[in-house]
Amino acid sequence: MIYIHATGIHNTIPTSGQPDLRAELKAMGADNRRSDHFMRLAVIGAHKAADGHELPAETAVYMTSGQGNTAVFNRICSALRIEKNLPKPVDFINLLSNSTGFYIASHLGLAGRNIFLTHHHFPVQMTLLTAQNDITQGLQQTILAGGVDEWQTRPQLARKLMGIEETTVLGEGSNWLLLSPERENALAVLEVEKRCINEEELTLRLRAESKHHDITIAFAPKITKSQAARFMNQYPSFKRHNYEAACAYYETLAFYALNSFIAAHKKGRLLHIDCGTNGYMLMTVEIIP
Amino acid sequence: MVSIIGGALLSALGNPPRRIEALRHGRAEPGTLETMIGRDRVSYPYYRLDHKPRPIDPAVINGYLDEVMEKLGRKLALNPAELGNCGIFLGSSAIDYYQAAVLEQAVMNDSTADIENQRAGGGCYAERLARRIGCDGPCLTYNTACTSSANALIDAAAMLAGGIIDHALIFGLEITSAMTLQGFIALQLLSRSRVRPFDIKRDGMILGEAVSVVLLSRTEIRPSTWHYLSGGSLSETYTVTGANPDGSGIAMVMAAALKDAGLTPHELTAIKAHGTASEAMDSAELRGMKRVFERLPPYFSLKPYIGHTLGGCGVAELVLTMECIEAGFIPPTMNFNQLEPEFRQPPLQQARAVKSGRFMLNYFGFGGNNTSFIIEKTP
Amino acid sequence: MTIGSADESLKRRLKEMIIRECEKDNFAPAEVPDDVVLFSDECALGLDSLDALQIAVALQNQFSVRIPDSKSFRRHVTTINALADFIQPE
Repeated sequence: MIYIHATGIHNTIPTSGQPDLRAELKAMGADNRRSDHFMRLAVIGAHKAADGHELPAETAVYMTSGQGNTAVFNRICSALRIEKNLPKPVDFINLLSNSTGFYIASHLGLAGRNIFLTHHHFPVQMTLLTAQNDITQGLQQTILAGGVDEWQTRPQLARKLMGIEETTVLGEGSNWLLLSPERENALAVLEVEKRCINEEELTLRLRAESKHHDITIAFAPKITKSQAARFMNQYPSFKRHNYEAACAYYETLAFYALNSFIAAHKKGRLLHIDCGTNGYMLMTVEIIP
Repeated sequence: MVSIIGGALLSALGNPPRRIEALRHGRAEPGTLETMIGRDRVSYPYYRLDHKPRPIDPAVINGYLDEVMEKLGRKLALNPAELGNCGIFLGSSAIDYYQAAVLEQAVMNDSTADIENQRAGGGCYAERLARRIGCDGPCLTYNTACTSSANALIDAAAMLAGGIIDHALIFGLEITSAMTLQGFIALQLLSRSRVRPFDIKRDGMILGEAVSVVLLSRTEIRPSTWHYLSGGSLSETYTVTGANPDGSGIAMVMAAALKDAGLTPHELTAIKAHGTASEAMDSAELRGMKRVFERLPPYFSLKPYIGHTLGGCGVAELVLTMECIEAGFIPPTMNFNQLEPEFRQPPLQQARAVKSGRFMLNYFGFGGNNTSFIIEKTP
Repeated sequence: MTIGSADESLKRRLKEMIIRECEKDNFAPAEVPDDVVLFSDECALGLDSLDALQIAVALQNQFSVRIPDSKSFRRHVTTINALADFIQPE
């Protein structure tokens, strides 16, 4: 069990191209030099979570992404293959995923652990599980954990790579949580299930949850509409966190689902349900009133 | 406690008996790798693990991962499917290009025709391994440049200690790609001759390939004479290309690993240095060690044997270090001749008999990412 | 052709390239002096070693100038005039 002290939400539905974030980043006092859109997104989201908090220098940054910085990959690829040029040094460095973490740490003055990790189905849950374990083990005292996904400049290709329907609207986001083992002044308690569970275990869990008051459920995009409707019918006391209304698809949406719930509620408990090939993955957030 | 059960490695040094001989006597030579820069064909020294063609194709990468896993299974007489609650942790600095192999094809052909709902993402290699091996624990992929698989190992150990998993397979992966080679050419970090770690005449690194795996288990479940004691993982923001030249960031992460293990500097038997032979990074590393150790224990670099295997070196160099100690020695640093006047204690120049002790393994990378972990071998 | 340091149009292109590649957008080409050592404290651009690498690759890609290593780069790329002369010796 770990505590959420702040949320940072940056969530948009671009209509034509990636929005220019330079002015916003500059207003935060950060340097745009050598950064690209993906990095700016990351710094803006992390800044929002850190804003108003005095972060200790040893604060760790645990970052994840579904598709990563695809724009810089495309740039290098075309330099190499089409123009037959050497990659630009700054592009090559930015291609290493953890360079983004470097710019977050530079902007916020951090010198703690700085990692970039991914997971095929559950990038958000696995990042938070890692953070939860490191805090519980006493290995970290403060962690900024976040997910960053940029709007894909080749949406048709991106939908195929992400395995989603051709009509799905794509969005972008950078959503962060400030985590610590301290209860004092915390907004909410976070608990990430340590492993995937099967259908039967999920039913047992939902039955147990339905005994609580004020339960809200958030469904990840991979839970089908009919499946979600079935759950809601089975447990009429559950409310639904309809975060989908305010965002479009990206692979780290689970962070947005949690963050938007915390930002909009003064009390209550959120159960976030996602699924992959091995079963269901659960996270709960309980607001501290 | 966390046991280290054993590891396997594919690298330019060949099979275990061959590589033990090479490491004992300080003998290894890089091959070459050619690439096109504009209309010029250029050749750089390079440590390849074999001479098969190397298209950036997921099937090629999966093939090497399966091969190294089979080697581990044979060596430990292990049926990985029996591991049950086992996590997969994979570290690679190039995972973005491997995952984007499909994307690259599409960019080149300007078509999406050949992609049939083939979900791509950085985590797909670890996911496939988990399915193939039959593990049901978490399967995470790390990209923190040259510390990728070292960071993967540190998290695996934390999850074992936290009881989330009973076993962990940690993979280090680095396979030739034109993009990596060209990127390092653009950064002017490559030597055209030899890797000379810590030597006054060093002129850069030589890249190499390595695919490696190591099995860690909770000691209650599987005891071993090898243990993981502690790990430090920190970052510094002096420059995106590496460490602060004064060695302060490097000293901090080594001190963190020592503190976490409850050890004083003189309790270490030896240090596996990062030692890339990069002009700036080797000085920073020497200065960092000077800050922590009044008198340095013997230290060595493995880069002259297999090259700089980038994100793969965390696990690859752990496997080599363990193999040497099991064979009763720590290896010399090849190609070393003379230190810069500011430093006093040279790296090990002749193999030294060592059978047990506590060993620190250091890795530093782009983005100011520094890691250090300590392992122990009991007699 | 004239010697590089006397070729104003070449020097302007070099200055534009440096500003673009090093993302020093708050500088105009005219503000980059011809005879101040670029990688020194006297130069207001404030360039570092990564900028030097970025310029080296741009010289190769855009001006077809091969600069093999950082030592020869430091030798040739001292000032805008020196760089222009190196690219266009006569």
